[in-house]
Amino acid sequence: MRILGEFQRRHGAIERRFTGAERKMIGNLSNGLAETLAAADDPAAYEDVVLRRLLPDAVPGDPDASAEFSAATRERLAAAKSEGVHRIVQDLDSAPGGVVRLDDEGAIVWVKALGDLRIALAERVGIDNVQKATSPQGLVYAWLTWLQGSLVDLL
Amino acid sequence: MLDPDLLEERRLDERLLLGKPWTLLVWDDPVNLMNYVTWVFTSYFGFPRPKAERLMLQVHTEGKAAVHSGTREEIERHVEAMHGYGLQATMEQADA
Repeated sequence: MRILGEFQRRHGAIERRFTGAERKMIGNLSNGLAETLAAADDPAAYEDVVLRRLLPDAVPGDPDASAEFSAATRERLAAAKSEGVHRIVQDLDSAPGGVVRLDDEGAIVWVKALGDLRIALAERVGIDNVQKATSPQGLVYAWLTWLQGSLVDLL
Repeated sequence: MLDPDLLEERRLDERLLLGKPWTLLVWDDPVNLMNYVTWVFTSYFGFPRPKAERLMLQVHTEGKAAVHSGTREEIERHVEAMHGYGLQATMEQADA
């Protein structure tokens, strides 16, 4: 996979050109996370490691308060995260020549969604595994880390 | 002489108003980037950069930081927002 440059501010927007392979990779990860999030309300999914990390207990040691918080927020949080990854896939699919142009609002959606993808990957594969850049998932993780970091620097 | 029911009601009001505040804790995690956490603290809470950086470093080196305190409702809102950003946030009541 050819690695292109960082996000850059140009003509009042934040831009980066993505290769076809990069678009496909982010698309696959995003679809996987969206599928996980779609099952957030299923009691069987409560023990899913990714959901436990993305939608954690709010009041440790107080199951009732945590359950109350979860009842009030879980659906909304899962929907917002799902919207985030759908948005970056849409932006990539509609990018002319692979060039994604973001305004500040779009960049915020992206920086959060890239973070959620990194968290999901680290939980699925294991943090020790993704931090070893020798595995394929490790390379993807390192690339996402670099990509998110370069976007944060522009905000 | 005060009506005991009224007195009890007043005590309840005082507890609600003067109840111990809740604290928002943000915990260290191995994934979120230091510059990202600093950005969340500046952009969401409006903290000046030095304060945001100090709190981020406290999260990183001490494992957690108390980032805000307030009423239960207020802190619940912040916990939800932090989860939205992918940060590991919890809440606790002072000396609960």
